[in-house]
Amino acid sequence: MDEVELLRSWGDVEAAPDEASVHAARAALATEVNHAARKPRAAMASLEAWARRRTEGGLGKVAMIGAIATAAIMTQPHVPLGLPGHRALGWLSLLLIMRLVGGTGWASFIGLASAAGTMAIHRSPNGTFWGVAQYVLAGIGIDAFFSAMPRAARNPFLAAGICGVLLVLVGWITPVSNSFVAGVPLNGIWVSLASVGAGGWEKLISYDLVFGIGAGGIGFAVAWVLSQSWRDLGRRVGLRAGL
Amino acid sequence: MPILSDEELIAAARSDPGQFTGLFDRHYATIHGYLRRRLGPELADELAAETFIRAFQDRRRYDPERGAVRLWLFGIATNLLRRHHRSEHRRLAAYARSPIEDRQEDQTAAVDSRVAAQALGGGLAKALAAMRDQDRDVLVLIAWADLTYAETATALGIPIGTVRSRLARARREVRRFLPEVDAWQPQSAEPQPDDPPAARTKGVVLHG
Repeated sequence: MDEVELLRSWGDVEAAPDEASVHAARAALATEVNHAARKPRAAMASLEAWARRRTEGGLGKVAMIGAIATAAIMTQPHVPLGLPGHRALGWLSLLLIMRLVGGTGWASFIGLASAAGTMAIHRSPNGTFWGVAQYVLAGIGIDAFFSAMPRAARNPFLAAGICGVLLVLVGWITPVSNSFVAGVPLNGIWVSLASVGAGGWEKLISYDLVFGIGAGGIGFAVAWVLSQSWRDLGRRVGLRAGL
Repeated sequence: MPILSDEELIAAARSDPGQFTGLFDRHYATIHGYLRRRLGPELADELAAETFIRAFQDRRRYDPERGAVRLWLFGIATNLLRRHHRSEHRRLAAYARSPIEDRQEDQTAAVDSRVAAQALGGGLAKALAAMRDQDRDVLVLIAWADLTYAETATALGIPIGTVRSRLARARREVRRFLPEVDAWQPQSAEPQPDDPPAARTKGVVLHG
C-alpha cells in the first residue's frame, strides 16, 4: 500500500450526506435558481419604474418621441449643403430635445439607439461603429453637462453653447475613422491632419461650432415650444420639459 | 426525454436556470464526501452547498474545453476550502492527538488496508497537517476525490508537472511522519498513463 492508498483507506470512506444536508443544500440552490429566473424580469421592471419616475408618468409619450427621434437620426435625409457638420442640425438638436423633455439619460439612450439602428440598417458612413460614435458620445456629453449644470436647461445660450462645443469635440471622429477604415495608416492620418493649415482648422472648427450652436438653438426652441406654448398639451401627453 | 450530459445541462442552465439542479443531483454526494473527509460533516454541509451556488452563479464562465464539470466543481470546492484551512488544521491536529481506542472505526474496520490506515491515522493526520496547503490539495484530490494527475491539474488549474512535484512533496511529508514507511517496499512496475490513479501513484508496499 502506498501513501495515496493508505490515505484513501483512512477516515469515513462510506458515509453519504444525510438527508437534512441534501435538503438544505438543495433549498439554498433553489433559492438562487429562482432568484436568477426572476432577475431579468425584475431588472426590466426596475428600469421601467425608473424611466416612469424620470418622465413623471409620461413614459409612453416620451418613448414615442424618442422612437421618432431615433428614426429621424437613423434615416436623416441628405441636405446638400456640403458644409462640414451641417447634419448636426438634425441629430444633435434631436438629442438635446430628448434631454430637455425626457430628463437625464434620454440623450444617451437615444444616441445609443440611433447608433445601433444606423449600424443595423447599414447606413453608418464607413460601415463601422466609428461612423456613428458621435451620436453616442454627444448624447453622453449632453446628459453629463446638464447633470453637472442643471440651470443650463433654462438658458438657451448655455444649451446652444454646449452643443457647439460637443460638435467640435465629436465632429472629427467620423472623417478620421473614414480614412482609417479606408486603410490609411495612423501616421498617414496624422500627417494629413498636421498638413491642414491654421486657416483650414479655423474653418473646420467654425463650421462645427456654428452648426452645433444652431442645433442647440433649434433643440432648445422646440423643447421650449413643447413646454411653454404647448404647456397644457405637454402636460396632457406627460412631457416633462426641463425648462 | 434524452439524458443530458453535464456539459449540456450547464449549457441549458444558462437560459433555463432550473436545469442546474440536475448537476446538483449528480454531483452533490461526491463533492460533499470530499469536503467531509477534509473538514468534517458540519463544514462540509456548508461548503458543499456553497460550491453549487458558486458554480451556478459562474455557470456562464464554465468552459468545457478546460475539463469536465465534475473537475470544475472540485476546483470550486477546493478554492472555497482555502478559507477553512485553519479548520482543517485544527481537525487534523485533534485527530492526531486523540488516542486510537477513541476512534470507533478502528475497532470495526474489517479490511486490512483500513486497519493499517486507521492504525497509522495519527501519523497521517500529523503529516497532512504539516504539509503545505497546496501539496495537501493535490494529495487529497488524488486520494479522496479519485482524480488522475491530469484531472487534478485541470481542477486546480495548474500544470501536470506541478501536480507531480506537489504530490512528491506530500508523499515525503507522509513518510516523514510515519516510521512504518521504512517497512514499505517499492512496487516494481512503473506506472502507466492509462492506469487508474491508485496504480499510478509511486509504488511503496506496506508488508505485514
